[in-house]
Amino acid sequence: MSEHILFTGLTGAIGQPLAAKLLARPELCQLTAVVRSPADIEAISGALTRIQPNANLAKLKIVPGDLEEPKLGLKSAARNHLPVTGIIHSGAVTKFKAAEGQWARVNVDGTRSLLDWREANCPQSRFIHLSTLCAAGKSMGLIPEQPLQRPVGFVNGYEASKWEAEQLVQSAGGDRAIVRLATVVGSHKDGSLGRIGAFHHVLRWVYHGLLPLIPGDQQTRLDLIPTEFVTEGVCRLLDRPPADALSFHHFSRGHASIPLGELIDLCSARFAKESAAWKRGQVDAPVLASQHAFQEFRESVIASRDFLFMQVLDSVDSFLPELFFPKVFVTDSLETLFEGKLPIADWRPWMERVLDFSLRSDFGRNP
Amino acid sequence: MNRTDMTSNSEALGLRSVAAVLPPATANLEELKKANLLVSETKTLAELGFEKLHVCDKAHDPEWLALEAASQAIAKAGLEPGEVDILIWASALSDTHIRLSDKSPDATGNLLGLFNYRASWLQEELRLDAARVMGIAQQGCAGMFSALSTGQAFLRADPSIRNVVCVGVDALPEGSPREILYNLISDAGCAVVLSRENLRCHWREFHQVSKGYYWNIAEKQKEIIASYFPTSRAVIRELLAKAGLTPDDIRWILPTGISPGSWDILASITGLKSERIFRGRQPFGHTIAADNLLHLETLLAAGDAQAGDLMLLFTYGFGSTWSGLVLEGV
Repeated sequence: MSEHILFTGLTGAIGQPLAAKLLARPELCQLTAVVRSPADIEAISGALTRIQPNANLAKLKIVPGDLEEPKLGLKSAARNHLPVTGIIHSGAVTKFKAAEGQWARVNVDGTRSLLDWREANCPQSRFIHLSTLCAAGKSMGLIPEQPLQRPVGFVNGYEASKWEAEQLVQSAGGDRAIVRLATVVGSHKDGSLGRIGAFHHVLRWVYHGLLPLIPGDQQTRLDLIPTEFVTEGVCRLLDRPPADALSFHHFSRGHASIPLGELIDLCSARFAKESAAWKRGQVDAPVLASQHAFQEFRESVIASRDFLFMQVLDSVDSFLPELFFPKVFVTDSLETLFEGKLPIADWRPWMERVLDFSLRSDFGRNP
Repeated sequence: MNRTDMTSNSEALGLRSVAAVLPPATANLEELKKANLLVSETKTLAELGFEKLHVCDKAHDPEWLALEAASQAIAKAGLEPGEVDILIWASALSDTHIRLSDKSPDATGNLLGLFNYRASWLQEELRLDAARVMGIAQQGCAGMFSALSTGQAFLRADPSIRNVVCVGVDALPEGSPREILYNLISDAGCAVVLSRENLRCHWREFHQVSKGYYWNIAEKQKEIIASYFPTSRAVIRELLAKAGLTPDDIRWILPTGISPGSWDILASITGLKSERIFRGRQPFGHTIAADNLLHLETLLAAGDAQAGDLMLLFTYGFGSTWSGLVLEGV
């Protein structure tokens, strides 16, 4: 069957490598990417071929649209003539700090608009919704690959909006998959990432000796995954036989998540190779701090109103407090998808490559 | 707990007396703001735990602080002036080491005046005629810790030395801003007699780390602020390890006058118990070198420290130098 995929989130961190992978699929007939600023097409095309040299750009059709607008802002011609067999919805505001209402408009209302559009135009299409492990909010313990009960709370509005978006997908009909992603921090191959997020911001503060404390303890673990984990997994979802059902998949390291203390040690060792100050022991690695101590630190930064440390806190505060709500995500469905074995080898060599890329690109500023 | 609190030759060394002095004049946050002597808003400093500071005036200048502190410490130690073998003066600011001449007869006189050391002046004032005199500088708020460490080393190295008087005095220049990196700075003086007998506290362990990487304070002030917790934790852990102690062994944490919240954080990340942070004195701001000793003097005077109680004193000084000291109550 020839695939016609409607795709949102092309300019996001996972959007480009995923689109590049799709464009290399022999089954693909057309990838229609809804993009808010089509003027970026040249840069996007260049990025796609860098990621996947055999990506067939002739199959890529970019149409202007906006998740914040009613009916996605698609022009009528585009709306009526997209022969869609599948929808991959990866567009979202993933920032942990956003303008008032932006999460709701993009992540919730945008998902609703897309589902409405699907219902009106291609109700039989497979809908793959890229969500996040963060949708589990402040829940702790073992999280099954099932609908999430509303958690006792969320660390930030982003998490809440992704949980609400999942409810909409669950309520829709037809062939649907909800994919909850761990934090994607770089390619397994070369550590690169098209668009950096909170993880790289935190790394940058650490490298420059501006982050004294990190919330967590020796038991704290991070669920970080490579880009290819996601691109391969989504392609496998597309390859499954059609089913009028909803499935859940945790793209997670499961029990093999990364110990935070060991990650900090690895970063320190790598930074010591790059920086004389680190090598000479003049800069110390950040210290793991309890929730209470980190809260004290947060309050002192807020009290100081220091602009730089407010920025540091913004990066950390929105990302790392999640670590105080430890959970393990069940990956049974994912293991089935990958035929029994998750593509998560020893994290250290991969993380070395992520750090190499980070240092080489000034933490994503000059990719 | 290992109680090997003696020196290598099994002789107890330690603190025989402590005195700390604040000038009587005070100013609160509103008064300081009105006088344009703060960098941050009063609300900011209040939220960080500061209320007021002590400031020198004409009648209570740095020399008054030095004389008061040293005289009190020597008197408490029950020493005659001639029994002091070494006098160590510690100040963070280089100007405080010099007794500026009130006469400027000529160019040569001005130059000579730069050698009018306050340590020597103090020796003369107190008639410490048997003392050798020296100064400790370039240590920021850690100067008094370095003076104590130096004095302790003298006692350990030379059996003929009986008593060392360490005097720390810091006063910001008149009319200068009273806030440094979100800390309200008080003027103060302090003095300690280190000795071999009649001790109030045994010297258990000392650890100090200096990082020249942070010498340029204006350029690296953010990195300095951020380095405080990780390096402080490393220094305290090393200090306790050298002493054969665990965080639980520390009965009293004698803090500096920086933001109280930061001491709770430091206690938490080092495994120390925050309820053991000594809070028995009214807030006096941050006095550069005398904070821990103001608390120690209060603690000893109240009789709250029992024999065997372990006390942790810790500070950070521009330069940058992190210093930690463990004492044991006698």
